Amino acid sequence: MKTKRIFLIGILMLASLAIAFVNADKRNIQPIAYNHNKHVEENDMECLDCHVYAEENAQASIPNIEDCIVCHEEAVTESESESTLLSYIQENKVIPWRQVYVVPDYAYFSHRRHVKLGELDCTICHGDVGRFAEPISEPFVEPVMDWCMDCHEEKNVSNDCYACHR
Amino acid sequence: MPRWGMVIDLNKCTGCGECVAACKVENNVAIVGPEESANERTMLWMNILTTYEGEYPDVKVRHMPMLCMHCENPPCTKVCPVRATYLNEDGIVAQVFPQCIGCRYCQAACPYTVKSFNWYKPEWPEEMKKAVNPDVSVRPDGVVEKCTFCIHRLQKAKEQAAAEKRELQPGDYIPACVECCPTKAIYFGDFDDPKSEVNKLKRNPRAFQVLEDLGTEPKVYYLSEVE
Amino acid sequence: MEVSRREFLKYLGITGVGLTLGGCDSMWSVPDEIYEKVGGMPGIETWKTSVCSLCPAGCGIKVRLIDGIPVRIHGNPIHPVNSGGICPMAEAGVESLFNPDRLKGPLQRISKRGEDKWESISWDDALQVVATRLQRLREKNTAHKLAFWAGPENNLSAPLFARFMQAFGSPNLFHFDQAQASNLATYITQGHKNALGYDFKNVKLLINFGADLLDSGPSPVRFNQIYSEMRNRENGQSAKIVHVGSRLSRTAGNSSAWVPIRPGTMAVLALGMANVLIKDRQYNRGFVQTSSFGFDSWRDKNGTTHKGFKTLVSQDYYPEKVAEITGVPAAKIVELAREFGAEESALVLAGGEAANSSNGLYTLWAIECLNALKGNFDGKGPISVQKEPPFAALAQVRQDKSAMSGFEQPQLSQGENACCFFEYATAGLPGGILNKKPYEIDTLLLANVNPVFTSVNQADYIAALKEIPFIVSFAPFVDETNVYADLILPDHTFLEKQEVFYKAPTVEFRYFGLQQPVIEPIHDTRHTGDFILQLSKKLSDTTSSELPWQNYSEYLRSRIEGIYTTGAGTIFTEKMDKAWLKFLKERGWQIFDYTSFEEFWEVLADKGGWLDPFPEETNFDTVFSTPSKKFEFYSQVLEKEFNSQLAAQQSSGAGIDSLLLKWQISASGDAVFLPHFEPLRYELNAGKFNLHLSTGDLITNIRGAGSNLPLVQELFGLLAREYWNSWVEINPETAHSNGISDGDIVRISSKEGSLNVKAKIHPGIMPDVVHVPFGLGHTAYGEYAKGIGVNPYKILEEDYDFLSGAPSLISTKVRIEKANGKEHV
Repeated sequence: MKTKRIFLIGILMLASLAIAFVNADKRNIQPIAYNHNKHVEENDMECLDCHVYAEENAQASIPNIEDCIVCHEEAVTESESESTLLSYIQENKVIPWRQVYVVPDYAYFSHRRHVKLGELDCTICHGDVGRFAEPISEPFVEPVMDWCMDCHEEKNVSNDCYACHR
Repeated sequence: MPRWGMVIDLNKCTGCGECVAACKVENNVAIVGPEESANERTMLWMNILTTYEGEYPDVKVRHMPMLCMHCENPPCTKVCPVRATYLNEDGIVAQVFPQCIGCRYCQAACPYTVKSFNWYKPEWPEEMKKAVNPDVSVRPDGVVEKCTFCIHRLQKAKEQAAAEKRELQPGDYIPACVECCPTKAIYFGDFDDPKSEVNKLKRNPRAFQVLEDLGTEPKVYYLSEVE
Repeated sequence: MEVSRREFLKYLGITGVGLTLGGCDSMWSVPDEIYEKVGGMPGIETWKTSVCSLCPAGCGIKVRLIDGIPVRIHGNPIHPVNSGGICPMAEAGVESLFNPDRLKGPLQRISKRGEDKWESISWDDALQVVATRLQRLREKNTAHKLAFWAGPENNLSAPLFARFMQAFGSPNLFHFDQAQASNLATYITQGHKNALGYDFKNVKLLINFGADLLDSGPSPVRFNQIYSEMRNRENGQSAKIVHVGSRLSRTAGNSSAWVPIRPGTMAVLALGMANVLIKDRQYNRGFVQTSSFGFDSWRDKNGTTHKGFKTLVSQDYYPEKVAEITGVPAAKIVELAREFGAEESALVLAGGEAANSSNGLYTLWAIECLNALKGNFDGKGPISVQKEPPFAALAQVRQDKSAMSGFEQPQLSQGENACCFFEYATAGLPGGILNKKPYEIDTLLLANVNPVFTSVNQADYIAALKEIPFIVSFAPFVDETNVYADLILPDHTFLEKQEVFYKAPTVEFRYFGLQQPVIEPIHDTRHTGDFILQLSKKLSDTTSSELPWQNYSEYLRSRIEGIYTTGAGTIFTEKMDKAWLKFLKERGWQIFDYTSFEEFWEVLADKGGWLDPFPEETNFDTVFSTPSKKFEFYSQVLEKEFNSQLAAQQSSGAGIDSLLLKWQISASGDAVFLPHFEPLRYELNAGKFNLHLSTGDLITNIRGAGSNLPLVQELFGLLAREYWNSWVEINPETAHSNGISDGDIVRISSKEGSLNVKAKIHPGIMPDVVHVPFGLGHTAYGEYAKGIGVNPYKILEEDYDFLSGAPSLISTKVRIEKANGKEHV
């Protein structure tokens, strides 16, 4: 019992070291190892096909089983991730995606404003997600205020605190 | 630039308190509970000031909804060491919560006593957290808060107007208290727009501002009761 | 390694925003509440139309939902009762839905009654338990031993409950309804029990006798709007509102003038005004001559001359005498009467302390006579008779033998055993149960009632509940009453429920509002209507065939289909221009596009209800159902009721005097059947208690029903700046002479007990009156309600208007002194 605990602690320490030193991308925090590359590059899909609200709403939304089922009603590949997805679909369970890009509630960020009205490309904030084979585990850009404000200044958009803060 | 402001017709107001409740719900203003209420730490961005004039039996009672006056010359902004409160380009006295360090100078400087301080981290029962308004932040402990003229509604209204490729129209943006007043006693609009209803109303002979002589130039006007 | 979402977000907070702001606590950057809000949900806003039923007014609401979760309640702008307005209590409605104290499923008692210890039971088992018990009642031919106490009759559950009780075979269905006394005043003077509607549109002078319309009563939101509208008419056409009452309430404060009056003497003022009107000949002689009875002295068929109203008021209610009794100066009385007489469109209304006093019925009657003198009952004036929407009628109930024999039994504590003159008074229920008169009650069903909190005889109710072998409650919360239940079968909260609300008192048009679920039930709760229908299926062939609906929704739709079929009225619409509506109606067109009931229902659900925009003028000649077919100043209706009671007890040989004694009426002779002044009884034996205790609801917490909602508690005494607390309003002079300062804790004592409460010096209250608001002081009803504030009803002396059965809320005298101890909390 005791040895087991020590062993566990050892594993945990190693794991935390790994997080500290190895590229954080390698941590998979998502319930399914979702492959953007496969969908976007190989199958020619658009961001908006899944993140359906990106042009009309503040939140772009993360797709869940009711969206996935459109293509994945039955297995279309032999991948392990897909079979995980299928089990979610079969059990009619919500996929517990971890939201990586979090804007604090005291700032108003609207996808519609940026994507539709500002005509910004998704990649500006999210990187070239379409080429990522690994699931998204940390943000491409850390959502910090300086970064927002630099862009706002460049694009001649209001930098009044109340343009975003609430 | 617009100068958003308000006119409250005291002859229409019955003091029912709906604006106070609506404000509290819309803006996730914390419920402080019985103990803190007894310590006069109730947090209300909008309150109703009740005053009695005269002596029994010739008593007159007046109800006056009080909120941030969004002064053109605000005393509170001048004392803020971190520019968490300032007069913004829309004429709204902004209170930027993440910027606030909680020194409470502004609260002391406000002659209208309409600013509240979060003594404690707001608590909602687990079940009720779901019903928090997602459009408005929940303020942590240690910051001063007050009426924002429902700034989240302006942000959305501007976006909506932009999406429809048009200018902001009167009525696109109104704060929660104005929207829900059962007797339609509260008017809201742009004082910079010569055609706006508030602009006409502020020239009404019944119009007055609270503590006008302080020179704070409040953008909340009142229409006095008809005797 | 498993990193929880929460930890990960925390990590984000530290490396991200936290670092940029520098030196801040990481939790600062991402407050807890955010975790609850993220999760890939798109944040889609939707709106659903419904009706709020936190108080009986039934205001139309529009609920804002984000991703299907209700976050705020707005008013429905096209609902004709509240026209888009709501009150602070409705604003807290979402807290009712997500309340941590809600019952999450059916419960059965596992300890002694009242100890509040429960275990869960499944719905199927609960249904079986109730069904078995009720079946046994029927087998023993004792169906009448089932009693049902339900809330106001303003919804379509009420007729369903009535039908169930009838098919089952019990006459013991009781609605706890506030408006009883007013309806009886209508009955005595006009011979019918329909509620009256009032149209204030053209009223230029309103004299309100005690009705606290803005804070309690039939529909506070509507009356806030009406008062505001009356004060703000264009071109100097604003109406004048005079408030008569012992306290400058918010209603009085929003009136043009306040006339302070000694509690319990309003009848005298009304009769004094009548005196002046008659003397000045400033009354509607046309109406009085053709459409009223008993104004002048009259001779009956035996040749006996009876005193008329005119003689009575001329002799007994001249201004100087009225001034002495009421404390209103004689000049003021004359002025008020002349103003009322001279104004073409003038109306008097009564309620509150006028109705809830031991002389309530005579007082309401006296005040109603002013409307008659004005000729307001001519169909063209502001008064009309409320009508029901043309719901599909229900067939006559077919009863089996067992049901028939049970249903024929006398009602609980009615008839011989009645506590009050007019039957159907809920006041006598505890007495009837305790004395087993006329028989014992075996099983009690409770829906939407909490008499242990809202009645003046709370101890009696508790004793009676303990006496009943089996109690089933349908409340979504444990409250003061159902804590004594054996089974609690929680209903949905109003945001999860389907119901129809209609006939809010005083509303002058026919309408109904549709309440519908804005969210699926979040707990294992069940619509009481559904439960009753399921129960009916299990009980007998007739209960099953007479309540044939599979569920409540089916029943509701079948009733509403009647409205669709008649084509009457219209679904609520923004286009309320009456000329336009009329134009369409005359051509048989409708505003909305529907060709089937399904389509009709869809539009109805979207708009929130139905309205008849063209109320027919009331023809009072056909409405007056008195023996004279006229408005009766001298009530032959009451005389007839007296005679029939006398006939019933003829064997005892007692005369009318015994009845007067029994019902504690001090008048004699013709005055009994004429409106007159009955002094409050405490005047005779008040002793050292020198102050009147007054109480009343606040708009923030009507009937104390919102006390389990944190927002309601936080705003309870908004105008008094007292939150989560009760207080007592004291006149400055009285406070001074008792050595009391603002904010002191004072002890209020009556014969029934005492309360410690915070003093509020209030210049708008009469020196010999103190006022404690009603709503707090719960001993159950969840963590936010329990132990907060005081319930003034606890120290009220039990007294009633023994005619109407209304509790007398102003019959208690108290004394106040500074309490030595600390605050009551």
